[in-house]
Amino acid sequence: MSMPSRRGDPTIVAASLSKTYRVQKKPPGLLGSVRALVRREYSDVRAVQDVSFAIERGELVGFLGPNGAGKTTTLKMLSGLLEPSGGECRVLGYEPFKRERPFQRQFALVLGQKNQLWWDLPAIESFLLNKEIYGLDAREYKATLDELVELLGLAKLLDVQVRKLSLGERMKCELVGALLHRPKVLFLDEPTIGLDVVAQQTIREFLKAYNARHGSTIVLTSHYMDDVKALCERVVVIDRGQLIYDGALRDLVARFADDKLLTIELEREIPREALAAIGEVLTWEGRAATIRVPREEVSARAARLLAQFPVLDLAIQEPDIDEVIRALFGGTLAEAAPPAETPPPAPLRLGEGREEGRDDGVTGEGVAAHGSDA
Amino acid sequence: MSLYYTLFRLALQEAIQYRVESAIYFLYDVLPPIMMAFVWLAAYEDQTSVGGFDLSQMLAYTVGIMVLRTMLTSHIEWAMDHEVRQGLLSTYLVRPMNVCAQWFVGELAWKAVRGVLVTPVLIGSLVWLGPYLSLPPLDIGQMLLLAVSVVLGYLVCFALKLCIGMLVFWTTDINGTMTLYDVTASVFGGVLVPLTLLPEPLYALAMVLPMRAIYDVPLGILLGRLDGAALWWGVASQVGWATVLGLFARALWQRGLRRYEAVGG
Amino acid sequence: MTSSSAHREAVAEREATMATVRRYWRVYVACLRNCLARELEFRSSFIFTLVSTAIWGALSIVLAGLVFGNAGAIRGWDLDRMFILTGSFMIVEGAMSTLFQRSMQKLSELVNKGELDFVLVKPISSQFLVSIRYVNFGTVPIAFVGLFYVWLGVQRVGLRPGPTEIGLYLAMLGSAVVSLYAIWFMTVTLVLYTGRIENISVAIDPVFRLGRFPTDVFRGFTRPLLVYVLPIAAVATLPAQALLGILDPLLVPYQLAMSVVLVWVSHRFWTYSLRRYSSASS
Repeated sequence: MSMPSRRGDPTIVAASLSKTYRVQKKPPGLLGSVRALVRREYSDVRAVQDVSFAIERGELVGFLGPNGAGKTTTLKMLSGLLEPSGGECRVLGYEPFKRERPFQRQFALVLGQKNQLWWDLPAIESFLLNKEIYGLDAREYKATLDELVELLGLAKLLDVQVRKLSLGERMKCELVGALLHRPKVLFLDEPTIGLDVVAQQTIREFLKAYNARHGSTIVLTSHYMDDVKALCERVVVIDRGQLIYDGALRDLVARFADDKLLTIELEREIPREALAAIGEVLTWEGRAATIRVPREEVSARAARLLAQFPVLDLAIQEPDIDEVIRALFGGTLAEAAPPAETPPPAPLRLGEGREEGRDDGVTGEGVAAHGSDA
Repeated sequence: MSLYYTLFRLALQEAIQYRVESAIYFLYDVLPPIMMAFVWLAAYEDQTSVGGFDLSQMLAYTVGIMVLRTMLTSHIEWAMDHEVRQGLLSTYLVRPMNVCAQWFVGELAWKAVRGVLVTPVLIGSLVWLGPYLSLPPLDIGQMLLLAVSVVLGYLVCFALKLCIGMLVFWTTDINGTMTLYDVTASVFGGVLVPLTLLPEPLYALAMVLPMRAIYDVPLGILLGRLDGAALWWGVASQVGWATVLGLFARALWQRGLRRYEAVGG
Repeated sequence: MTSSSAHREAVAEREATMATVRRYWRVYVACLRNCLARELEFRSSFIFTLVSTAIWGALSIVLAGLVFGNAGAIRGWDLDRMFILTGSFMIVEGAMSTLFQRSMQKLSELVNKGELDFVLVKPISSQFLVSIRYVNFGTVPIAFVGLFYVWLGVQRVGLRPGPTEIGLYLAMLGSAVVSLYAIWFMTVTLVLYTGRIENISVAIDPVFRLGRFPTDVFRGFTRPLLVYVLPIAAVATLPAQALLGILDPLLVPYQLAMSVVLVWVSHRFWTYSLRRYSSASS
């Protein structure tokens, strides 16, 4: 039985946390497929290496990093979904992987683009199921539900089927479902991915307000700088499984949020040094380039660029996290091997089909598929 | 030609990747006949003839139907349903390749995998039931005819399933039709027990339905139960059904394509 | 520790257990309600399914009819007795389809879509939740048609089963359902090892269907396999024998014990597989 945390202990602690996967290599081609039947080859993927940090109660922390960096893996270890290969972590004093019930009642997990709500039913029905699963008292449940609905503006949407909701509305409902049991710790994995700008904003504001009001500890992973900028005072940057920055966002941002990126396409090749007069050239490929310029001078510099060079196309962009990391910490970026095996491509489906036991029915078999949903 | 060969190779790779799924579906074709073999072994303890078959013939029928079910049953209607529904058909139509031929070649690849699966089971069955089997050997002519009949049987099934699959252009759900087909095939197709077990009026009906042309005719030749006029009539019915259904499928295809294009694929 | 505080502890423990049982029951009811709501939403499709499964079920007797109609009696079973057996098979078939089929199917989907995580973070037995989450009301008619056939068979054979026979009958049916659930669950658990196998949830179906005929016809090693190792005889043959009064009494505690053991094994396998899953894949 784990020790409940003493006052003063950080809520979330990770010490030299590591996670390594074995992935089977699937060689291409017909011969490869047949060979793979007989002899399997594996490679080790180090998804998380030696990551340590401590998060206090009520903090709102962002895990930043490019895709495949290991942020989601770390989050899953903190939620008890994955067993660490090395090191250890504790949340609320519990070892997450043991999945003790008292621990599970005190935290919640929200995964971006994945639904835990029942697809064909109104969200309220899924909420009622969660109420039973967490054993919530009817009055408490109603009070919490009302509060959340009000904060997120969902009053009219509760009785609409989840499949009919927009992505943004669905995510809001997911949040409600996750917070019904008033968790002390909330883990969010890419909560704003795929959402439109307005929805992203609403969710961010909600999380901030919720954190302020209830003092719950919130950890979110994202590869959007904006999520983190809006919400977190503290960021933990993870790249290729390693923790490369843990500290105030201010300091990280100070170097880059003040800049913007000009992405241009030129009519003909212009030498790199010529473009360097405009600003710091981050990438250059003869007829295409990315130039970093201070935020306040964007218009002036862009105008100069357009006047001096034969520009075909110009885009002004926020630096994204890849840029930040690449610039900050050097080295090439996350073409890092993704920790997950990519699934086989969608089958041509030329032969077998979805029989599901449909063969003879009467003389043999197959009611298995009968009445099964599409 | 090399186009279809490449297609076959790709489909074969895919089929090998899905070998476990294939094996599971394979169980549906293989376990019921094995069960029936036990049933017949027990049934013939008290009698020598059931439905006009003696034990040897009945067991031969059972083993035969096991192999034929595995190898001759086409499942193309599901692939069609899936692909048309997903709009994949559009990508096929822009290619300079006959779509139906593509489906045909693709299914051959999956049949190849099934062939690998059924061979050990067949050998095992022959070892087990060998002592009970005593069929008159076939001469060269009959064997050739059997081979032809088996191929024809597959063509009939393919054409039939093509027609059913074409329904995807008109309905939202082919499950209902498939259920109807399954029920009909199971009663009138002889897919587990010989058609002679049917009461007279149903037997007559079975004789004029296409399912018979898939399994029953080749098995009749194998068992030597079809000869003379009945034999030629049987093979002719296979050719007939394959042709009729094939033409019908083509008509449906043209109509269906027009509809598909009308709704933007 | 004084006896009164020990007593209080025992009472508290019992109350906690009762509270847990009540909670699990309420979760189950909530799931049932959700499933029913979903079916009623697609009302016409639901009714169509009910009718078609009823018809499908009614035709289940055709195979037995063809075989026994032509062959007379086989190993002591004739067509009338086969009504009882086939009907019992259908009752189990209907129960399994209704109670578990969709959940098993969804389980393999859950794993493939990475949504199993949502289940694992909840303070409730994950095996419980994934097994009962989805109930398929559309296949209930099969069980009812089966019940009708059993009744018909009982009339035709001229039986008058007493409470013992009926009790044993229900016990064997219940045991079959539980044992089959356990084996089915273990089969689907394999997706945690193999990754995507689209039809894993129907893998035991062809084996299940071996129970359509009396297991008495099997010989050699296959018969003990289907009676003592796999719960296939328990599906229809043993219950039918119970009603006919010819059930070997020793099989009753054996089957019941087998059900318990199988469920226990399925749970151990599940928890073991989850550990392995979470340490070997992402």
